Amino acid sequence: MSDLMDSALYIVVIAFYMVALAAVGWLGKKKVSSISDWYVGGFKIGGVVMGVAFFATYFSAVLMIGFAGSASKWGMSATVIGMWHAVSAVIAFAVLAPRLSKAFRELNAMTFSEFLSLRYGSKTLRYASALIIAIFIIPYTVSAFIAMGSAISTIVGTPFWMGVLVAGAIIAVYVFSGGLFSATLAEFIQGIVMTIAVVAVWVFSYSLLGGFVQAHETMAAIDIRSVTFPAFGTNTWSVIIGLTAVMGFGMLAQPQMVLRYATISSRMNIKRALLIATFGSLLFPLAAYSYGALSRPILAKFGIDVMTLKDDLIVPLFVKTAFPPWLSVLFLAGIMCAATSTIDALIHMTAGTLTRDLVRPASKMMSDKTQLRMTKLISLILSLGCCIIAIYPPGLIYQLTAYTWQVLSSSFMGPLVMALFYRRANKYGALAGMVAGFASAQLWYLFLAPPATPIYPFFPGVAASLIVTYLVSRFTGPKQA
Amino acid sequence: MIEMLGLVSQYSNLSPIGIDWWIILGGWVPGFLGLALAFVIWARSRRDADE
Repeated sequence: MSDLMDSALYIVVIAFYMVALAAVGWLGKKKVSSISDWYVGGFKIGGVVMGVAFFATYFSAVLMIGFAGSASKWGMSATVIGMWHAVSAVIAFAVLAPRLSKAFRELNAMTFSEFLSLRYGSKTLRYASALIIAIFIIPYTVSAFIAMGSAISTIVGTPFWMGVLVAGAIIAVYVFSGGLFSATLAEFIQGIVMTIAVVAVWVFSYSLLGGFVQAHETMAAIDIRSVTFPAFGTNTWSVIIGLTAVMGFGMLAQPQMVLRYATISSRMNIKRALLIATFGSLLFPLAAYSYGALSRPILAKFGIDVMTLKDDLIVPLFVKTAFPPWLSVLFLAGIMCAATSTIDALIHMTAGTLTRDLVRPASKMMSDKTQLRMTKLISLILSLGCCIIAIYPPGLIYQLTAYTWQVLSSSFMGPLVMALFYRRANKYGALAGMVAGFASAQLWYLFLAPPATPIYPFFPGVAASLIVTYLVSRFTGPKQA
Repeated sequence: MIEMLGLVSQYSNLSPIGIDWWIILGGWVPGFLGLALAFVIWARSRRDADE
């Protein structure tokens, strides 16, 4: 197939995708009649849709491209990171979701910060948590745009800015129109497409190497470390253990993930979502990390040594070198789905937080109708603003993104978990836990993060957040809830 | 395959599918146990709903 035909096919896929998402926006718009509908889907979103939306939000193009590229160097030990995501999904839906969805409903909370504020009776907690979300989620959103734009420009050959603007425009349209309804419906479709894409690449990679066991034998013949777990204390060991914890258990306290497992319509639907989310959280990362690891012996057949390449470039090169055209197109569709399904969740959550937790309290006379309009407008500005920053990214973006998950989980794990499981948890404990988690993660990141020590900031951050929230609550004041 | 047999004897941690047992026990087993647990919880909730 000529390059021209390839490009035409890619453009047809992108156009079809845009039309499908515009239709989702239109469907969602019809369902939004109140502010609750936009923010939390009126607590009416079903288990099947939310189960798929959960893992579609969880896994982005960064996993399909960046982490999979790193896995080509780490080998099959990278699959350990992915397999623990399934355990985290079980904890999210079996342990946290039943209590959290009940609490969200009873408090009529519509954002993560509002939940903390109402549960603990503290406005300070609301502003502080909303500020942390705004400061760290916006750079994270920008980096997701950058990952998507880079992947599209490498595979399709279009300019970087074009991929970013296409994604930004379409996300703006459907999040603006239908809020959480549109976002989760889009994520449902995106989750299915991206799973088909990674599984197809996974199966194709094994078939190229002659089958399941033969592929591992070929990997071992190139480098035995490709199929063994790294030795204790080595750099790769600390990366695998650190990422397993950060990407697995750190997910539980990410506000955009909380909004997904706290807003399901019923207990029965939580169980449905549990099964689907766990299945997706096992299959998707297992496939992505595996094809990443398998790319090393496959690219070696083409005379390419992945150890000499930057991690981010390995998977796009793998696609261009080893994939037949139909699989390249499917993979591109998967990348677009994975990227947009994460970005829309971030835009929706941040727009809601900025309006409801920061702007509305400053303007006491704001009606629900005005608030809904303002939230939609902010979602539009955020989508397009993040696109522009992605096209001209300041250096600070990368520094903030590098530890977004660690900072958010370190700040919120204590207040979130104690809000649900410790009745005596109060605002003093929650505030102290948030500050302690945030500060210890920051300090650890600055002075003791790898390679200085093999321990990621996530561990001291989350430990400090949980312990301080518990201890300060225990020794101060009466219970607040 | 001969190369592999050599590697297996050299690295006794390799399982019959050619991957380190630590990877299987430390990652794959917990992951599939999580999925099994999710299935059991879902199946029980369906049974309770039927009753």
